[in-house]
Amino acid sequence: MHFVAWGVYAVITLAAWRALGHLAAPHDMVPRAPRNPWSDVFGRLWEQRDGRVAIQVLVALIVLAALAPWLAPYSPIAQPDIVALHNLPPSLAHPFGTDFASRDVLSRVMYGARVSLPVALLAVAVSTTVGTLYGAVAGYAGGRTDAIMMRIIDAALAIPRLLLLIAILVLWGTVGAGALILLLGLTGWFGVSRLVRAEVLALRDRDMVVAARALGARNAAIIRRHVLPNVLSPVIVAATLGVANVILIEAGLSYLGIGVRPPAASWGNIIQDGADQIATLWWVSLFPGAAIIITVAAFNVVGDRLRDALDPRQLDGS
Amino acid sequence: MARFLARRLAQGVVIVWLVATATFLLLHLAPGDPVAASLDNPLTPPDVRAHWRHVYGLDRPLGEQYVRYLAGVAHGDFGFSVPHRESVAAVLADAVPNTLLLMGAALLAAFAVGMATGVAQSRRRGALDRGLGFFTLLVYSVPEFWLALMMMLVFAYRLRLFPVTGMFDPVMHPYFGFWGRLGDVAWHLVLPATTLALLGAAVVARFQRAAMLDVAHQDFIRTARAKGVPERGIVLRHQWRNALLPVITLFGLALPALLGGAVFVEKIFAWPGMGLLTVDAIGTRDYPLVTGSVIVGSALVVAGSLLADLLYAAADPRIREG
Amino acid sequence: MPPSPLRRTPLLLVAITLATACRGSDPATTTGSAGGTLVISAPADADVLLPPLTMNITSAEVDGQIFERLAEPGASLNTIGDAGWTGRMARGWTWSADSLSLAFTLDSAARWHDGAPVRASDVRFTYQLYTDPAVGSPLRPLLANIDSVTTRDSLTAVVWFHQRAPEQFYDAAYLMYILPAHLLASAPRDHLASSSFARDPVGSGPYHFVRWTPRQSIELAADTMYHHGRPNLDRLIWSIVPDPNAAITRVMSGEADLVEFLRPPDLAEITKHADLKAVRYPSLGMALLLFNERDPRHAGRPHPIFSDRTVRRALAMSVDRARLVKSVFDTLAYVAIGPVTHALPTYDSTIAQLPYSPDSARKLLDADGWRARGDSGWRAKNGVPLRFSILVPASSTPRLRMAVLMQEMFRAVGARVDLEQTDFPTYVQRQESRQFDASMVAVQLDPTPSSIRQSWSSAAARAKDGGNFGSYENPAFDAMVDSAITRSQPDAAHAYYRKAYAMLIADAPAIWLFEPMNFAGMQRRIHPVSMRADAWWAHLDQWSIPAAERIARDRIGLAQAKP
Repeated sequence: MHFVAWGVYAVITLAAWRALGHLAAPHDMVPRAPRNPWSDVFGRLWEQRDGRVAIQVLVALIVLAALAPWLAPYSPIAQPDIVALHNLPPSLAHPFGTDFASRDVLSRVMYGARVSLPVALLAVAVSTTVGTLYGAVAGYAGGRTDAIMMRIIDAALAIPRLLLLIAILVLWGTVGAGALILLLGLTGWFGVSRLVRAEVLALRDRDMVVAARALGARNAAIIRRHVLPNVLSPVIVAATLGVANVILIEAGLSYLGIGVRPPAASWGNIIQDGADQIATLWWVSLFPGAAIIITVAAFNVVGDRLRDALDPRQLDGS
Repeated sequence: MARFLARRLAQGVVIVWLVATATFLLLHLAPGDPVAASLDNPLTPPDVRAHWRHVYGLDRPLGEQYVRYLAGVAHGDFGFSVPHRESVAAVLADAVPNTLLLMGAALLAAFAVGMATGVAQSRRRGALDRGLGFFTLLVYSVPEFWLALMMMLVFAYRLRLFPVTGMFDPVMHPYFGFWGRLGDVAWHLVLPATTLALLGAAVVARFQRAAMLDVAHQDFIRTARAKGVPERGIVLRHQWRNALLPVITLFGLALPALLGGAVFVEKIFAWPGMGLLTVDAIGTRDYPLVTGSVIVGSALVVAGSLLADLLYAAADPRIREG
Repeated sequence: MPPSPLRRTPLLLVAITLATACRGSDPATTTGSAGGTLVISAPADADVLLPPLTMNITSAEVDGQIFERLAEPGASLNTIGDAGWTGRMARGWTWSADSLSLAFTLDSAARWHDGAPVRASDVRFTYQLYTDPAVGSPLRPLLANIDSVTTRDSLTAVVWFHQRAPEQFYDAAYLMYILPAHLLASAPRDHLASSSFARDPVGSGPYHFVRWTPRQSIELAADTMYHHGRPNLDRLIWSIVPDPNAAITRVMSGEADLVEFLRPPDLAEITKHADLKAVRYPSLGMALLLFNERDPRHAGRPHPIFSDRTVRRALAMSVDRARLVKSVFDTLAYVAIGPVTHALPTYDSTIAQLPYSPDSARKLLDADGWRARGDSGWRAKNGVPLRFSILVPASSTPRLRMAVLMQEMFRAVGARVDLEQTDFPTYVQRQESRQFDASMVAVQLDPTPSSIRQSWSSAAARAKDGGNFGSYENPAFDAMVDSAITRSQPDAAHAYYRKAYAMLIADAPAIWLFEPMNFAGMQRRIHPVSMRADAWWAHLDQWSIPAAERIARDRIGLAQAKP
């Protein structure tokens, strides 16, 4: 499942870089040798120190998660001695200590990354796709259709996402990882659709679209070739920040016992293991919490820097 | 202005109606028998259960239940909560003020601290900006239940500065005079409100800083400076007022987030508000209470964003004629 | 040494001083032997304060102070005959010659909290209320042997039975809390829970109801006219704290006085505090892993795995119960030996148990046709994988942890186990509707060994609302239990019970897991008295706080009796 997640994220990023080629092109129609969008945006990201650190952190996390089966010191589910080796505080043998079942917390946190990260990435892929399509259609259609579609979005945004998720997960009982990802994705697309709609509305009346229409191009083709690529930059930013958000939500749900279920370790349910005796077994809740903070902070920083880097006002040096 | 208000109000009603319908559908399409669980008593004989099902109208077709429900809501009758043994309206009337108190205090603190931080950051771009920025980033990235647990661990358990849970002292509260009661509640409010406020302040600070920086580059600021307006006046009258706008929008968006975030805080600190009530009600399959709670919550959110719109209109003359 | 509550709360002190000053002279300020406030950190809110309807422990604790039974059992919990029982509402009783009726003489000094005297007609009314189908009390089937209750005169109530049985007295005296007829007669029977009485209950017990702030606290105050003598403590307050960390922290910081259950790390903490103490009391609680012998997915069919006795025995042998208990509870729980705890007179640790032997388990499974396939090691037989799920309520950390540990132990013998963690109401519903493979059940046993009939008999398996959720059926076991129940000589009865337990152990309808040792954590100034296994709160009216050790909240007094 992990490869699917990385693959999806890679595809989205690739598409974004390609789309940037259009954005980076000058507005006059004189063809020029296209500048490599990679070096532009990436260069801007890399310039800032915090962007650099954040990207390094994320790469390290991805590598750790992908290579966990080889890098983790112990098995995350092995219970070597449930009497003598349980509830051990951090030590050289167990840098993050052991939990109630004598499982090594460091290994569990590393394996937890293999669950928490892909779940968040896939969920955001779902919400980005759905939100972009919905928003593009609403913005492009305009008029009454747009108004109705946006009313529905307003209503959806009025329900706290967490409550909705809790309600669905409690009422429907145990769900597999796939269903959890879908749920997380399908409750998070409303903001993206608003964003996309705003962009599409602005773009609809731009010259190239009007021209394309006048030349008789079909709506779907227009959306695909002109509208979507320009909309991608705010969407990429929203997606990156969305990953951070979903990691937090998934942690919360797992902490409540309705997210990822044991024995699969996710950062949220490792915290739950220790929350009951947080005063005496603080290491079980502290380290996965720190992992979450670091990951979420890194995604936030990357998202912010991407926003700065993709800001069209800065691309042409105007 | 009046037309603007009326239009937004009408939109608000539509939103609440949509939310009510969605919640109704969600609950009734869920698997599980609403009566069995909410009667709380596994040994109830089947004929008694059928009797209750009839009393609550659960044996009628779904469409009819929906219409009867909407009619009730329009009159302020949200039904009867079996686990609480009182009407949903009464249960909510108990809990809503507690949530409003918690959220109100948190919002106030979050916006005050957040705006001050954001402005301070934008004024001095050096080490202070980076330091505060790093701090807000950290706070922004913390899961709220973890933060709540840590706050309780440090301040209530280890340092014994504040009470662990609850809204007032169970023993002494009825015996306090008016000021004593106020003080008691305030003292219990500190930890949960601070937890929510910390997170909120981080978000507001980031927004405010970005907004201030955006505005700083605009021409009218340079003009004012050229005119010789003192720096303080520029910041307060020109920069800040314009940077307020995105922050006001944030206020409208913050409400559902706060209501949701309050769930963990209320649960961990046992603050008897709507978040805790709703989560418990979902667990006990108390459908009328869940629906009522979601409707009231979304009505609050709509009211909040209406307020935000009014503030926005007051702050930005450009949209007043709309 | 933690700061004393007084130093920590200057605001509290100021407020109290102001409050008491503003109220003027306080006639009931206690300086004598009676006085004190007990704050109990309760894990859950009460559901309804009406004894016929309540199923919840906090409600039971509160009701036990507001209301009275006719008589209470002694600490030995003898339920055969009336040995060891003391009168509570009743002053005494006499059996008829044929033992088919029992006349209780009520104490003439007994009063309802509104001042009205207690009458025999109240007893008759109570019985009618408990057995009225419209009320829907879960205790109704347990009162089946009582034919009727009549009044001989205003202070004598006669209970008539259908037939002689060893536990007649228990049925008559223990199951019902006596309710006031003059206040409940007009209440609607099918809406009893929402009647005005339910919100403001009136009983004849040592404490009367003051207020109930939903989800926050319940407060009771001493009834100074209580016919067995004024209770020592002025005030009882249940402070509702669902989170176990917070519950114990409240006691340690002095905000509360008592928490009724300590976990091993809490016990360690308490022993370090000079202000606190841990008090051990006997318990009727235990936990087991119940196997469902019917297929939850196809009605009427036996379970593909658990209907096979050999598999059940093998699974029971693959679990090292001693290590499980040591890991989760350290030394604070016993390994359970069957559907019985130390507090019951039928407990016998010499009954043969299934040994812990994964090798034997594997051999048994192999011989039974469950072969390990491929390199995963999971077993299967005729295409049916040895895979099942364990249902656990999220509310119980020990059971959750034990389930995770057992999952590994089952894996070692090739059984694949999934954990299904649900919220408590869903758990109850799934259990009662038998929608589970295996379930981690925690039971509070009744103070009588005869309750194994409700949990393990064939009749209970077949009845739609019976308590035999695993549907275990064994006619030999039924016959043994019947013999036990009809013996009126305790020794003979106990011998039959032990044989019945041996059958349950051999057939392994469940894996008997643990019996927690109950420790209550409380402030040193609290002096408890005889905490009984079925109800540690049974004698709260005799608990005391010596005058010399009282703190601020103990001195409030009874001035404010009503809100």
